Order: sequence, then structure tokens, then C-alpha cells
Amino acid sequence: MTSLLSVRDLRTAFNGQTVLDGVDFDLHPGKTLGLVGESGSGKSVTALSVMGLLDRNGKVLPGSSIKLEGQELAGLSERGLREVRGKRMAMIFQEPMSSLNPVYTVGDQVAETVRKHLGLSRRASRERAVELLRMVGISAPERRVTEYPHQLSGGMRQRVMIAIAISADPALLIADEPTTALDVTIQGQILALLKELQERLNMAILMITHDLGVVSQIADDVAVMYAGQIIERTEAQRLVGNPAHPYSRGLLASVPRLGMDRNVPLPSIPGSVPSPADWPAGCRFADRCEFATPQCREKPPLLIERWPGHEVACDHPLVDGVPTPEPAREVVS
Amino acid sequence: MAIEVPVARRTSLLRALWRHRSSKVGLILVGFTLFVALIGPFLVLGNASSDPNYQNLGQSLLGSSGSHWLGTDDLGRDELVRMVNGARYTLIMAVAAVTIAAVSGLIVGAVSGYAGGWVDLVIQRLVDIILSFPGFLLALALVAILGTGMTNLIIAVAVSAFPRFVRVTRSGVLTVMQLPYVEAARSQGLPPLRILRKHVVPNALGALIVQTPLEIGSAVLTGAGLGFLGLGVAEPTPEWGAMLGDGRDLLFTNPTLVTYPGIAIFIAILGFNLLGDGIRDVLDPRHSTSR
Amino acid sequence: MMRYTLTRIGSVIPTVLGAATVAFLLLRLIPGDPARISAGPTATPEQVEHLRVQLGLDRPWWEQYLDFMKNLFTGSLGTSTRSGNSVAAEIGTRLPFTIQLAFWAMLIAIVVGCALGIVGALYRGRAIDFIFSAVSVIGVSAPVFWIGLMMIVLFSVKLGWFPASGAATPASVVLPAVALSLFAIGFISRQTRSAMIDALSMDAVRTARAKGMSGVNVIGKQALRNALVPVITVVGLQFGQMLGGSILTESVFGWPGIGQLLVNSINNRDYPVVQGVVFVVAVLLILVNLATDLLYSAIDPRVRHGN
Repeated sequence: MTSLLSVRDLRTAFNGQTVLDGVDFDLHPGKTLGLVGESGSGKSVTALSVMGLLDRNGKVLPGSSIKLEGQELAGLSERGLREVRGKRMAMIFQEPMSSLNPVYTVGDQVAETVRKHLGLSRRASRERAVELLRMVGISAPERRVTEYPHQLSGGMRQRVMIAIAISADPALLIADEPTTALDVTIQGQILALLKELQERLNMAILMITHDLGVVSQIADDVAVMYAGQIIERTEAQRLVGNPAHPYSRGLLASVPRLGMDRNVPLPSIPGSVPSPADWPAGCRFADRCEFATPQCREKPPLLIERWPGHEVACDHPLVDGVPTPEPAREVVS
Repeated sequence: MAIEVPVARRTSLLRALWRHRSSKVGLILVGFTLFVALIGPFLVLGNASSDPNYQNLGQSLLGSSGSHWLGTDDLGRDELVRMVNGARYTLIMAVAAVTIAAVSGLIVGAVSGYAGGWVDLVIQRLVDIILSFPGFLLALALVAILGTGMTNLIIAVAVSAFPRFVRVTRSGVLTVMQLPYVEAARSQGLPPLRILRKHVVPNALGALIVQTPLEIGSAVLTGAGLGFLGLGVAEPTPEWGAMLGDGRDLLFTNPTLVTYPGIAIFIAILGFNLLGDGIRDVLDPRHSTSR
Repeated sequence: MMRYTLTRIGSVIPTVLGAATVAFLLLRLIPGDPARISAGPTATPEQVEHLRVQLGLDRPWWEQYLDFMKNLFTGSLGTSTRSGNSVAAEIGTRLPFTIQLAFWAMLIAIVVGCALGIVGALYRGRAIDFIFSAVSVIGVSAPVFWIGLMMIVLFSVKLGWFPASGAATPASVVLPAVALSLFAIGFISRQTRSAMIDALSMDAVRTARAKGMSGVNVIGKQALRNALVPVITVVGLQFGQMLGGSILTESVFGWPGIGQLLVNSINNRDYPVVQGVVFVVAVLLILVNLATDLLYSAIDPRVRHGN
């Protein structure tokens, strides 16, 4: 299967400080890839690098490759990116509150994209906007188009954002923590909507989230990021069942599940993601890892396919929660 | 806007200002003006013409020379001597007016914000009314009514600056009052004056500190403007605005008599404005103008 | 929207009444005997008494106050003690000049100030931003009466491009308008710059880019419209500053507006005219502030929905 989005050795720097350190992944048409990690892991920067939406201090370094349907986006001019953005790839964000412009009506903001990418007339794009709002499950869309963002609820705003995103029928939708700012019940609705639209429009989704619960609901594959790198990659169900990286296991353990003993506090990973300036020479997770050995701190582990379709960057990958003994690397390779 | 100025930071404020690009220039300009006002008159002593009001009609309208560095005016008075002496009038007027406005504005604003209710309403209505006049017009009208002279000038400038200090203090107090520890102090039944003095006013001071240099700059401008119109201090006081106003009759023949006092006023105002911008940037980086 | 507009208009009335009261009080604040001072040092006792009656100072203060307010409602601002003309008529002939001057100055200030601010925000931290910031702080620091005189020396005397004084030709307005605009240019440009920087970092601007919108759309439509609200506020505030500054500007350039009328009347101790000008300027400013607030709500839908 040819991939829709193919990212190779993506390196991004802010003010000369590398924050993405060689990210590789593929996303296939109509599929969903979950990109998971704590804040500071580099998952949002990855999304913004793909979209070409880094702020003025951020730069995708030469040598990086971002291919969408075979077209190289890394190094493309702003003008060139503009033809791709909104049309072949679209993005929704974490804060539906502030992502919409407060001074224009919802209808204007949807119709604007339609006009730009589909070249419809003012009136036709207006009608199309109503249709799109109906598609994302907004009731009485004829009335809603004349309202302003502050008159809508958070969930409604996110639906409007989705309507904008799908208006030009993009092949790729990047969703950056789309449900984090919403109530739990609304979260489920938005995820269900995304799934429904994905099937209807055959759209691939890159789902950026810190929540493995979201991943297990919506994603086909998952890539776990830590300190600017991908450290584990496999099918979503396999990762949820058999996390091989201690970090992935830690993330999973901190997700509340049905039937858990509520009196036992949720375990959390001690410490936080090291900032790019403090990346250690060896494994970047070693300082927070309960299984770390002195060797872990010396040389960085490589992302290796240890089981079919399951890659992990750890010298002692977990099997059924138990780390494999030293020197795991030589055994496999 | 409530900006906290912890005691420990006050000592380092000067250092921070010195590191800040624009306020460094401001500090230098204000320092220079202060230096001229304090020491300047002694430096130009030495001969008869070092009295700013010493007239020598035989030596009128001279160009710059070794004995009169900036030349003389139409009455043969030494321009440099008058400029140097004028710094005092300008600074005393501006600082006195702003001090009066700031202190009274602080008190009225704190009462208004703390008391709330009808007291607040009445005070805010009065402030609205004063603010419905352009500041310069109000100062001009007051001087016109009260008469010229230093004291009246100070009163007029103070009245026109007063409402802005009330506003700034009041909004600072309102913000501080919502802080948990102030609410806690109130719920413990501490006497209002004590809460105001110990908790509210010190924390609302930050906004006042930002406002003050900008108001001094504005007071210099107002005072000089009134002097220019012949409504400031009485002749023959060597006030910069008045000197500029006198010089305009000779604009076409001796433009320097307008140029020099104008530059002096400009430098003083520029210094206070840059200093004010710098203090705001240092105390409240969110509103930074330079970054 | 309608309700907001009406309440806002209604809130103007007490302020106007307050301004009228201040104007009334002006004459009564004069230390000593206003009639004596107003009549001048050479007046005979009969002339002083005549003036006292004319100014109404012989009657109790509350009667004077009621009369003053009643006259305001009929559009009468009293009679000039110098010319004997009605104050309203005197102001009426001068006011158009002041409005003309303020209009041009404000237009220049808005165009130039916004341009400097937008460019400064787009090229933040670069040399051009530094230069424009310097221009702006110089603009707010240079006294208009000094800059005005320097401009006369340069553009009228040396170059002969524009008339130095008066309002005889259409070109006469150029120098005073430019001089008066400088302060507002400085103020508006720094406000525009910081509002634009805030607006450019909005999530909504990122959304517009994610939608594939052009640079012109992102800067002009998304960011600028949001930046306009604080800019309009500052423009409204600048109008008051400008009315004050026009007194000095009119004096420098011999522009026949109400500023000159005011200064002349002060020198002539023609107090009814002083009162009238002070009141009219205050009303003008109150109306501009009202217009600013209403414009504000037209631009930002959150304001008119009371949010």
C-alpha cells in the first residue's frame, strides 16, 4: 500500500535549538495514525512542521522530507504550501474557543475556505457552508451561519472547525488534541464524528494526543513520541495490549479505565520530558525509567523492529511487562 | 492592571532599567536634565551675564561666541544662562504637579475602588466629567481663571493629571481586591484602613509607578505649552515654554531663540517618556514595546 | 444592538450636564471680583456694575446656575463682553476651521500611524521596526508649538512650499495639520504595533493559514480586524489630545479656529466666550467618545452581545 503522507528524518529547530530529532512515519489513505506523547515530546511541532505552520522562530532543517501524495512539502515556499493547506491537508486545533476568528460569523469562516479552494461563487459557497455545517451535525445550520463563535458552545465550535477542515475534501486531516479542551461526553461525540467523516470522505487522520484512550478509540496505528523522537510504533490495539517501551507502559498506566479500583491512585511517570537543551547522550528516557541500566545512559537505543509490525527504541523492551535482559540489541540483530 | 513590585525587586529596578535599551537612553536624558537643574546654574556663574535676567541691550541678539555660547536674546540676556536656569522651573513645576496629582489620585482612587457602591459611583462620575475636557484645555482654562504664576500653574497641571491617576489606582485596587489573601484578610474582619495600607495600596502601586514618568513628561509639555501662550509663569522668569514663545517674534531673523528652548523641552519629555516605557516593560513584560 | 446603542447614548446626558456645570463654575472660581477683573484695570465703577449685571453676578448663585442651564437648552451661550456678539455665533464661525484642522490631522495620523504600526509588527525586531519605534517616541515627545515653528522656518521661509500662517488658501492647512498629527501618529503607531502583534499571534490567524488563506487575507482580514478594536480606542482618546493640541497649533499658525478664539478671549478676559469654548469642546469630545464606543461594538460582535 502506498502511503499518503510519508515523513522521513524530520528535524525541526526553534531558534537554532533542535526539538525534533529525526522523526519517521507513514500514514496510509483513509487510515488513522495516533501520535502520542506528553507535552514537550514534540508531537505538536511535528504536526505544525507537516502543515508548514511553525511560527517565525521555527524551521524545518534541510535533509528532512515530508511527502504528501508524493509531493515534497519540506522546503516548499509559503505560496506553494498555501495551495496544499486547506485543500489536500487540513488541520483542527486544541482550542476551538480561540481558533475561530471572533469578529466574523461562522458562515463567513466556512464559506471563505470553500470559495478559496473550490472557486465557488459567494452564494454557492454560502449554501455549501450550510451543507457542511449539517454534515458535522450542527442543528439548524441555516440559522447558525449568521452567528458568531462566542454564541456557540465549545463542542459546536469544534464542529465548525471540522466543517472548515473538510470543506475542500482533503486527503489528510491533522487533529491536534481536538478533544482535550472539551467535556468528556462531547469528546466522544467529536471522535465519533471524525470517524464517520473519515469513512464517508476516505480521509486519513493524523491524531495528535496525549491520551491513549483516544488512540484506542480511533486510531489504526500509533507512534509514541518522546523528546523529539519516535520511540515505539505499532498497531494501536497491539500497543494498548503489549506496550514494549517502558514509557508507553507508563502512559497507558496513567489512563483511567472502567472497572479500576478508584481508591488506588493512578500511577504517573515521575519527572517530566527533558527540554531539548538537556537531552542526555544515551536513552532520553533513562532518567525516568525504573529499568534503566548504566549502559542505557551511554548509548542511545535505535528504533528497531523487534516483532513483526512492532518497532521500539529500547534496549530492554518489555514482554508482558518484564524487561528483556541485557544485551538485547545483539540478540535480535 | 496590577503589577506587583516586591521589595527585593525595587533595588534591582534601576539595574533592569539600565539594561533596557530605551529606558537607558531615558535615564541618561532625565539624569542630564536633573544635573543641569541642580548644578547647572553654578557652572555658568562667573560674570554679570550669569544672572538669567541681566539685560544688556548693547549686546542683544548676538550669535554664539566664546562669551555667550548660545548667543543672547533680544534684551541681551545670555541664552545659555537662561536655558540652564529654566530647567529648574520646568522640573519643579512638573514634579510638583505630578506628585500632587499622584498622591491625591492614589487616595481618591483607593477609596473609590475599596469602598465601591455609591461612593465609587460618585467619584467615577466626577472623574468622567473632568476627563470630558482635553487635559490641556482644562489646564489652560484653570490658569486663565486663577491667573498666571508658578503656584497656579502647578495646580492647573495637577488637576488635569489627577483623574488619570484615580483611574489607574482604582483599577489596580479592584484587581488586587480579588486576590485570595486580600479576601482572606477582609473575611477575618481586619479594619479596612489597615487592609488598604498593608495589602491593597502597595500592590496597586506598580501601575502608578508606570504612570508617573509618562505623566511628568506630559506635565512638562502642558507647562511649556501654557508658557508658550504667555499663560505660564510670569515674565521675566526663564521658563523654556515662555522663552520659546518670546522667541517666535524673532523666528525669521533669529530662529535659534526658538530652537534651543524647544530642544530642551523635547529632551526632557523624551527622557521621561523613554523612562516610562522602560519601567512598563521591566515591570510588565506582557506589554513590552521593544520585544 | 439597539438597546446597547440607546443605553450608551443615554449615559452621555449626565456627563454633558456635568461639563456644563464645570463651565459655569469657571467664572465663579475667579479669585476676587469677576466683574472687576473682567472689566479691566481702566474701567469706571459704572462700567464694572454694568458688566456685573450683564454677567448676572448680582443675583444669587443658584439663580445664575438655573439661568445658565436654561440658556444652554435654548442654544444660548451668553454674550461676549468684548464684541457684544452672541458667544454661540462667535464659536459658530470659528468651529468649522478647528474641525477642518482636526479632521486632516486625524486622517494623516490614522493613515501614517497605522502604516508604521503594521509594518513595525510585521518586521518585529528588525531595523525598520526600530526606526519606526524611534519615530513614534519622537512624535509623542516633540512639542507641537516647537515642531510647528521649525516647520515654518523650513517649509515656508527656506523652501516657500506652504504658507506660514492663516487660512487663506487650501494649502494653508497642510503645515498645521501635519504638525498637529505628529503626536497622534506616535501614539496610534505604537498602539497599532502592539495590537497587531497580539492579533498576529492569535490562534484564529493560525487557523486562517491552515485553511490556505493568502498573506493578504491573513494580515488584512483576520489580524487587522481584530487589531482595530484597541486602535479605535486610542484614536478616540487621541481626539481629545488633538483638540487640546489644536489650541497651540492654531496659535502657532494663526489658524482662525476656536483655539485662537479661546486664547484671545483669555487675554481679553472675555469670560463668557471662554466658558462657551470650554463647554463646546467638552461636548465635542463626549460625542467623539460616544461614536468610538458605538463603532467598537460594530466591529467586535462580542461587545454588542454584552459578552
